[in-house]
Order: sequence, then C-alpha cells, then structure tokens
Amino acid sequence: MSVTRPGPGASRPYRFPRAIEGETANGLRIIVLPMPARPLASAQLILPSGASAETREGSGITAALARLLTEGGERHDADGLVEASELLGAKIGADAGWESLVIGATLPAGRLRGILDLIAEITVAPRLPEREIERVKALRLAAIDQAQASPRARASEALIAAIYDDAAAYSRPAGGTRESVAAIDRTALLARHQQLLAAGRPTIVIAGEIAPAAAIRTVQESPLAALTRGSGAASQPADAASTVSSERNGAPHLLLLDRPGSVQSELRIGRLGRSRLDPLFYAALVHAEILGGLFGSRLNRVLREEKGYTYGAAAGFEFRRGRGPFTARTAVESSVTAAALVEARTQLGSLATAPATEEELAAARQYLRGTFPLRFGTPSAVASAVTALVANELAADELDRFQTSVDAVPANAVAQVAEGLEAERERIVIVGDAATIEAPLRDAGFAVEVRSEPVKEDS
Amino acid sequence: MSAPQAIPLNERRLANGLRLITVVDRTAPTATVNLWYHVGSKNERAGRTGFAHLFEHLMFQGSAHVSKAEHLSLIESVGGSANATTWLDRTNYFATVPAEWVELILWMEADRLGTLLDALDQANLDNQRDVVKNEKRSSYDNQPYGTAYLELLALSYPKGHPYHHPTIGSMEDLDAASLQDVREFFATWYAPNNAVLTVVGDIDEAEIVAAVERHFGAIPPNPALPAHPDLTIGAPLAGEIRKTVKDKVPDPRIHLAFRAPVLAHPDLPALEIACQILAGGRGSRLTRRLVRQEQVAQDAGLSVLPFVGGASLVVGSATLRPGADAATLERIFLEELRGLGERGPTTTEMERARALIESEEMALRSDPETIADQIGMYATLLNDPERINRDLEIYQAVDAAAVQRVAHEYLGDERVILWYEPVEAA
Repeated sequence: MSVTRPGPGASRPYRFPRAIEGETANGLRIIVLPMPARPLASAQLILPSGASAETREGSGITAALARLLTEGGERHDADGLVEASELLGAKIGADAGWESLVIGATLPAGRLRGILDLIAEITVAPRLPEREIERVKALRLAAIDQAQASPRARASEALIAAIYDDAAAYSRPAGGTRESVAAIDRTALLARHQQLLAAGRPTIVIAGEIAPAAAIRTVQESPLAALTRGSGAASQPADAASTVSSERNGAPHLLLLDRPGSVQSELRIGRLGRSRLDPLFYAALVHAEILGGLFGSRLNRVLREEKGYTYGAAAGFEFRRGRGPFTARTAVESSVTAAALVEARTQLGSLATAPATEEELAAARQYLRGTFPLRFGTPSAVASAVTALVANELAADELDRFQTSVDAVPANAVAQVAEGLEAERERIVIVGDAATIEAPLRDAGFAVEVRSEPVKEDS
Repeated sequence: MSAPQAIPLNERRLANGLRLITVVDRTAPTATVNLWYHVGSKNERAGRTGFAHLFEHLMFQGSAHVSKAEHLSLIESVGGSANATTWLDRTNYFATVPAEWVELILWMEADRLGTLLDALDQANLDNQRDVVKNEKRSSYDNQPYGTAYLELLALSYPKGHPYHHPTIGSMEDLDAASLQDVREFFATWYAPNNAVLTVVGDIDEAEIVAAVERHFGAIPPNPALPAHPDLTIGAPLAGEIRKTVKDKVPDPRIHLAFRAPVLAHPDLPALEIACQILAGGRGSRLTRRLVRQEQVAQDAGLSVLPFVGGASLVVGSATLRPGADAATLERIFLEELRGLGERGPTTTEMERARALIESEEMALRSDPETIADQIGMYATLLNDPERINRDLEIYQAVDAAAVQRVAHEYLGDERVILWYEPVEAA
C-alpha cells in the first residue's frame, strides 16, 4: 500500500445522446436519441397536460385516466393488451405528472413498430370500462389510507399542504383527494381524455439503438400519425404559496401530527422552491448538493456523522414548470427530536451566514458533472430525461449543456439561491409520538399545534 | 433474436488470494469498482446479531490514510457515487467514478482492507451504532408492515440456524458490540483471500492489474480463514406455520414464505419464472385473479430470495382491499399457486415470460454497475463468474413442464402464512 493518493488519469469525453427531430403530417413531434451498443429502444408518448391543469374538485382525474388507458383500446381488452405487449418483451405503462401524461415502454429495438401500434391504440380510443373505473377509484382511496399510515408519506403530504395555498394545484397530491377521487366518473374521464388530445403538441421520444431516419419513418407510418396538434390552452398557475403566517406570537409554528407509540419522528422543513425554468436552476442544483444532497452535505454530516441522530438527512428542490417545493427530510429517534430540529434548522440556514466554501462548491460541481453519464446508461433513462424536458417546454438538447452549465455556476449565484429561500416562509411538520416530543419542542421555543391521528373512514 | 455478445471477463488471482476480474466496457466514460467479501449475517455469533452490517458502516469511518467520513466525500468530490450492502451470505462495496479516477478507488479500498484498525475508535463505533439503530427504526420498526421480513426469516428457519435472525440484528445485540468484536471480525473475514474485486468500464486492463498489485499486493491473507457455518436444514417445514401480528396498519396484509432450492440448484431459474407468471405485473395470474377479477386485493407479489445453503425462500404478499374478506384472499392466493403446479403454464405465458427475460437481460447489460455486481456475486457464491454469460441461455431453456414441476414441488402445503392486522382503535 502506498501513502500517496493516486491522482486522475486522462479524462474521457462524454456527450449526452444527440437529439434528432422530425414530425408527422398532423404535427406530432418526434425526437430520436440514438444510443449505439444498447440493443433496446424506449418509446414515450407525451400528452402535454397534467395534474397542474386540474381544479380542486377535479384533482386526480389525469392520474386515474393514466391508470385506465392500459385497460384496453379498440382492438385489445386489458388482458389482450398486456399479452400483446409482453410478447414484444415490453411492459406498457402510462403515468400522469404535473405537466403531462406519458405512455411508454422499453423493448428490443427491432420491435419498435409493434409497441407504437399499442401506444396509439390506447391513446386514441381507450375503452375506459365502468367496472375498471370503479376499481381504480377504490384502489386510489385505499392508497390514500396507506399513505396516511406511513409516517413518511403523511409528513410529506402535510408539508406540501402547508407550503402552498389551498387553491394551488401543487398543494394536493397529484393522485387526488378522497372527495375528488370519489367524484370521478366515465363522463368526466372522457372529457379529460378529449382535453388531453387537444391540449397542445403531442411528442414522442425514442431512445436506443436505432437509426434516427428509420425511427422517424416508423412513427410516420404508424397509427400515431392520427394524433393532431392541439390548440394548446395554457395551464393554470399551480404554485401559489400559502399566505398563512409561519409564526404564532413570534414563535416558529410547528405542525405535530400525533402518531402514538412512534419510535422515531419524521421531520420535514420546507419552503416554496424554484421552477425548472428558473435562470438560477443550475445554481440551485449546486446549492442543494452542498446543503443536503451530498453524503458530506452540511445537513447529513452534522445530523448523521457527528450526532448520530439519524440514518440520513437530505434536502433539495423538486423542479417543476411552476415553483415546486424545497424540502428537508429526516427521521430521528423520538428522544432527540427537538435537538435534531434545532440543528437541522441551523444547518439549513447556514448558507446565508457562512457562504459555500471553494471546496464545497468544487465538490458539488464535480459530483453533478461526474455522475451525469452514470444516470444515462439505459435508453429508458435517456428517454425519461428528455420527456421531462418536453413536459417543461425546454429544448430537446438542453442536457447537452448540463455539464458546462454546472461547471459555470459561480459562488454568488449559490448565495443568491440561499437568500431567495430565506425570503420564503418556513414550514415545519413532524409526525411522531406527541406524548414524548411535544413538551421538549415547546421548551425549544416552537409554537406547537398538535393534530391527532386521522380516523379511517369505513368503506 | 441473435444471442447477445458475451461479456469479456478477464480473471486472475494475486499471490495473497485476491480474485480480480476486469471487464472492458466503453459505452460510458466511467469505471465501476465492486468488492464482494464472503461474509454476512450468517457468520455472526449468538449475542452479536446485526454485527456484519454495523461493521460495514465502520468501513466508511476512515483508515490509516483516509479520515473519518472522508471515504464517501472523496468519491463524491471526484464525481462518483458509492455505497455498500450487507446480506445473509455476503457484504458488497461498490463505487462508480469518472474512469480517470479508478485508481483512487482501488487505493481507498486497499487502504481500508489493509489498515482499517489504525483509525478505529470508540467514538466512531458509538456514532455508527446510533446511525444503524436509526436505520432499523426507519426501515423496519417505524414502518407499517415493516417487520414482516424479520418475522418471515424467524418462522422459516429453525432457531439457531444462521438465517433465522435478520441482517439488521437486534437493538440489544447492537448495544453489546465492542471494539474487540470489530477487531476480531476484521481480522477473521476481511482478508484478500476472502474477496472478489471486479472492475468494469472504460479501463486499460494492464493498468488495472498493475494498480491492484501495487495497492493490494502487500496485504497479507488470512491463512486460517474459517469455514462457513453449516447451513443444512434438517427437517422440512412442519406443514403450515401461521402467525398473526397486530400492527399500526390500515388494511390486513398476508405474507407467505416457502422454502426453495439454493442458489446453485438447477431448479431455481424455473422457480423464478413461475414467480414471474404468477405475480410479474398486471397480466400475471395472481394480479388478474386477486386484484382485477375477484377484487379482494390491492396488490400481489411473489419472488425468490436466493441464498447459498440450506434453503432459499419464495416470499409473497397481498394487501386486502377495504371491505373484502381475508379468508377469501388467502384461499384464492393458494389456489393460484396450486393451479400452476397442477396444470402448468400456457404456451403464451411461457412466450411472454421468455420475451420479458430477454429484455431484462438486455437492460442489465446496459448497466456496468449491475454487470460488476453480478460477476462478484457469481464468483463469490458459486465460484463461477462466467455464469453471467450463460444466464440468458439457462432461463430460455426452462420449459413449461419444468415450471409446473417446481411450482408443484416448492409452492405446496409446507409454508409460512403471516397476517398483519390493524390494531383496534383505542
């Protein structure tokens, strides 16, 4: 063994797969990302409207529609569809996000046309059988109960509800609430389906070992050519922050959701974050790594490696087209809850008083640029990343600039992100055993509001 | 489909017994370093459960030339990521970095294998003991249904069997772990002749071999490496073993376990395909029947947990739909398992399973981290790293008769049935 640490050898260049574009006569946008030596292809069709376009009463309908698309189309019923897609070596799936509904699959590249036919079939004329609608609704209601029973999910949902105004779409789970899900019916689903087909320009992203010209031609010759460009009604603003004061009589307000007998407390601290389209996006990435992303981040280093309060502590932005949340998350042993919360808040505020050091900045930049190629080894990862760009209305070659953009983040931009966060209201939520942790939290100076466990409704 | 190109393995053994396997893969400008140590929770002694995993944490607390918690920070600061896992049969450590930094990782791995005890102190042990106890709380004790796998192991293996206790251990045993335990465990198991080092990526094989010789070559082997414990299980499960756990859960959930053949056994691939046909996705038998047709479950799962000795496990679960009848759910679940054993899969089910396996194999081969880990696994547990290149062929050769036979043989009446039920409201 030698004492001297080895330095780097010669560095290798990396390029994100190049995006080649085409379109169909009706205006479907086609983006192909060739990846040599990867014998798979991943195809993802994006309809550009999601949960952020929903009203409170109608929330969750896009997610329900996504689940129901795979219940069959004109030629196949649900079982027939699964069978046909699995015979191609693919699991076809549909998912709703905040800004889009995406239908896709990954399979051996030579069978691309087969999966395009199936994607087109369920997109253009889904069956939406009554019996399956009722089943999907019932399963969503059961999933809401499961989330309430999970300390992690319950804490996260309560924090999000505290950050945003009740009227903002981002205040709700994208899957909808008990009331809104109960109200979903076939008429509403058909209307939402029509809205999605007319919502704007649909796009198909295809990544993998495939020649761009051939892939574009395959799409043009497939039934996807029937999809047309919609008029593109702009979606509603989804990100209005709550105006409720974050203090009570000068003390920081803390919502304590009681979970009697909990051996740990789930801590959440959050604020209104930044949009994916924010000019400080790359600075925000670097900021979040330093604060709560890296293993050696300020939050994890102190809470885990110095104090042993937790298995891990993390913080970061969730980037959406509107301003998504910034959240810090950890679970700590009940008896150290107050001490851990005080320490977490100190670390979260530390970038305002102790700016990022050159060492921290270099580590965060290099981590982001170095791990970038690792994230994109598979066609499905590349297709998903470009799908997210499309949903946020960013250029298809945006990721080509990722590494240079991260490298170029200056210290003052990181400081600006820190200041911006400090200017937003802080929200604190804890799920834990109130009998153990309420008094120490009050003693530590928090205005604690205790809410007892939700009572499960009989079904 | 044509057979995929073989992954080119290059293998050698150092004088001290370290097994080194390299694979050149230039699809990404990265290098993965993966180390398997043949030691896991099966090697723990009574009163020290959870120790192999606690020890894994201490491997990140510094060595002679790396300071506390610097290991991961250093890897991140050169643009890489790293982690480690402990399981019943083994412990693995892995990092992926921009290819130009591969020697740094080799050096760090050698530094902790050669000099871990130089940096060990009580404060680090106490800190990581707290971290691991919080890991147990987060991942098991404070999660709805979180203790199911601890229960399944305890019910499936007899008391005193090395697989009876879980890798995470007990709070009492974690509290009892001492510096002397760490020293003994390290001296016993962390030796080059008990390790497989796999390096995959955009690498020069001659340079890797030279660097490994340079950094690992002088680390002495343990000539007295102990034999692994006897994993033989005397009797089969005595019929059906049942247990009910009251927990803070919203809906009842059934968990099942069956003893299955060991990792090396030729029946295991057929059993994995049986699990795929029964519970792999929306069109599988259990999901169709329980979730879609009879609508008594929210979800359904069944999969193989492979182990090297005694018996592997097939574990399954399904969550009751609110308002549905638990006995009906259990009856249908078992009916479907029996049905596959009695009548076997259809031709279409076999075709679907084969097509999905082929896609999964292609996806696996797109990921250097998975390639490295599978090679480490096959070298450590089967002494057969080249198995990775025969996997597709082995799975594709399974026929309907084999699936029917293994379903009949292993998914029968000797089983564990564990129900989680909501505690009554106070």
